[in-house]
Amino acid sequence: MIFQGRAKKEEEATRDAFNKEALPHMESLYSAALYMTRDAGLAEDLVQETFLKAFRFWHRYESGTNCKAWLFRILTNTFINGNRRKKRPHFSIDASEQDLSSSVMAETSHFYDTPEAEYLGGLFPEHVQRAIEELPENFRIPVVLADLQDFSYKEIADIMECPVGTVMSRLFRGRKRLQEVLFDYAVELGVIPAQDARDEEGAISLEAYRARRKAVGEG
Amino acid sequence: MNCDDINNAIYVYLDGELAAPEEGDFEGHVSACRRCSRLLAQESGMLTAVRANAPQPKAPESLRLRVLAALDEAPAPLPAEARAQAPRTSAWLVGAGWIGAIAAVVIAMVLAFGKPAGGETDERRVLVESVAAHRENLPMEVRGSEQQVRQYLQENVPFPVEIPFDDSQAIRLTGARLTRVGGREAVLFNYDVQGERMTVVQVATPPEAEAADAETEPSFSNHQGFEVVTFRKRGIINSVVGQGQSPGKIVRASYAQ
Ligand SMILES: [Zn+2]
Repeated sequence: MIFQGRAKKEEEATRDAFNKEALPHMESLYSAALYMTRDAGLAEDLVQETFLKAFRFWHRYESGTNCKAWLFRILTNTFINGNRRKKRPHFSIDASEQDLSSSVMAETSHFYDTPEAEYLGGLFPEHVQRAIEELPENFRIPVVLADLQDFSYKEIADIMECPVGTVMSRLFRGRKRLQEVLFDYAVELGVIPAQDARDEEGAISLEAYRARRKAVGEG
Repeated sequence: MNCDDINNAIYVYLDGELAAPEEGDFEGHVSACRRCSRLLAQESGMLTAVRANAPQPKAPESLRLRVLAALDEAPAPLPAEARAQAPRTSAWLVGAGWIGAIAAVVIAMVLAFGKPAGGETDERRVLVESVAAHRENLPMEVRGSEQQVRQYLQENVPFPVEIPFDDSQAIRLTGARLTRVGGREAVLFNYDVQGERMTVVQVATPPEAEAADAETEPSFSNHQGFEVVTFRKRGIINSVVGQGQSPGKIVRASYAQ
């Protein structure tokens, strides 16, 4: 009976430490949770669940280490597992990566004829948000962790419990995909004239691009 | 580096994760190649635009209050001294004394984050369901070494799980699956004890339950012809089910350590 003699003081000290080290990350966790769940109610539930688990397993956290990354690991696992459980059989990560890679890898040179300043200025936060939210989960999570939360590759690898190489390839594909979608919005907004939407060889790529987008959407 | 290398390394470079020698090569190529310098400008522009424009919504005050209230209700976590306790599984482990016991399936069920419930009720329910699961003997979702099972659990269970017993010659972890008990999520481990099955059920108490990390002494009982030992350790309800006396022996041995 290890716990029975425990002083109340110690409990309070633990809670104080948790309040000081863990709770300040609520804003970051909530923001990431919104991008993951795409729903304010689900995001709130996810954050609350994350904090309760973190508190429950606080003894596993080594004081003074990277608390934000530790919390994000719980958040990410909770999110992924919640989803996985809902849609059995488990979706195959490899398959979804392959689906994308063929379209995305051929896609490296979309903006060549357009100075970036021309379209960047015309993007609105809601477009960027929508573009991120449209990313498949496998790519969305690393993009959110890297671009919105500033985690290093190593930290993302720890959070997602995968090799650094996997982080790099998912970030690569996720960002290329993001670029495609943002490009699409920029064209829709008229920020990029459709005739400037050329690929490296100079052929007008808009039609091909849209066809590909449709195919991805249906696939 | 050629243009293809630049394509592949561009984000690694922009993220500042390229090692020093490659970074020099990268910059050398880009400064001499019009195509790649434009690509770099575009890609960095894209990343900058995403960072600058992506909304970072503030957590509503109601969420903060909700979390604080939930934490007030939650049981205190383990004290600092207990944190130093070494490897997760080894403290539990079974001595060699019971070798020759009957085989076993170990089912570990982790009930997470359900509604608060009385400890007695929870333990009774776990006991009954663990026996049912032992009898049902459904296929495992993962089979293999303890390491593979651990990997599976890490990927599929949203919080750390205690593997109940270390592998040894006498007791071997052979698989695990997720299941449900009383509508709540649970994890099920499969152990092989000298060629036969034993069932251990391990249930994490909902954090909001009272005394969620209390410990209780092993309670030995018989249910539908199986020996069952239930106890609570580190906030996890355990129910060990098997034939003959193996559950009792294993639990006693682990407590004796
Ligand atoms: Zn080049």
